[in-house]
Amino acid sequence: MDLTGSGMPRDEDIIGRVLGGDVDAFEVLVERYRALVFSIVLKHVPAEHVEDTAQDAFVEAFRSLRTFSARAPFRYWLSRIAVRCCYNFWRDRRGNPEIPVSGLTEDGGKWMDEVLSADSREAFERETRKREAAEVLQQALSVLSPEDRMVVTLTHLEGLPVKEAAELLGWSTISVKVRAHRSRRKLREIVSRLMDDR
Amino acid sequence: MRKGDMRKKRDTQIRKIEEAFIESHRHSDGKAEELGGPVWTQRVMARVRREEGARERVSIGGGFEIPKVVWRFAAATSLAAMLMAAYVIRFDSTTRTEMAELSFMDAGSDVGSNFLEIL
Repeated sequence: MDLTGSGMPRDEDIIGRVLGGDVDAFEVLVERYRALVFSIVLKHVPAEHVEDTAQDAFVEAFRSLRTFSARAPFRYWLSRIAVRCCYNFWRDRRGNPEIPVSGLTEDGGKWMDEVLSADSREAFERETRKREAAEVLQQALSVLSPEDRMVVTLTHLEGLPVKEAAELLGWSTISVKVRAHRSRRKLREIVSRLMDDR
Repeated sequence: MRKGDMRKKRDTQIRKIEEAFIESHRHSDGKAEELGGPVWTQRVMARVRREEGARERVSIGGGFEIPKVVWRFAAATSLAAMLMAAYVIRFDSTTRTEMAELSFMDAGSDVGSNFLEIL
């Protein structure tokens, strides 16, 4: 068996074994890419749904393993599946937001005030690491459609190029480009409304 | 404060909140290494094995060949039955028409001969 420099079996060899009937070999891939899938899913779905969505991503990868062509590295192929599982998560919950759309909480309002009055980079960064930051962000994103939400998260919040976001989502570049522009404008409008709610 | 200045201030504030969102989002995967312990992995593998089990149940007897063969056989049989039924119905109606025509012709000739006999 081909081994990588670190003595670990290559992804392609493990996939070959799984496709040959050794289903248990898939566990090696789960262990190897667990952190990668969690790092993607954590950025897109609420904390209480992260483990289930990450599970869905691996099960979907197992189902689609025959379509893996090794043209791109397995980690990239798996990342696309993880991003699409996150999109499916929001699509399945369309019109059923778990976070109230309107009304900023008292803590959320205070957090906004603190951010706006932060007079140094350190103070600003300290605020961005607070739990309230994630809460207000989730509140703002919950107003967007699943499509806008995914696009604004990938292109604006993560800073991915449009082409890469399009590949991850499996959509056309032009569609993502148009949606990125629109969804960013919508996010700004939502932020403006939340600021008024304080 | 002039309207333009107010707008500019507002835009700056929105941009600052957006920046805060970006920073917050980029630090949100810090726990990734800690998530998904052995129990979670075993749950994934249990689902994977169930998937494989379901796939095997479907493929027993050469993949999807059995259901396909059954459907093809059923379709061919139905078609043949329909053709036979159509043939029988057509044959039956043609036969009836021919029989009726013959009877009529026979009846006609009898009437004609009787009429000639009377004359």
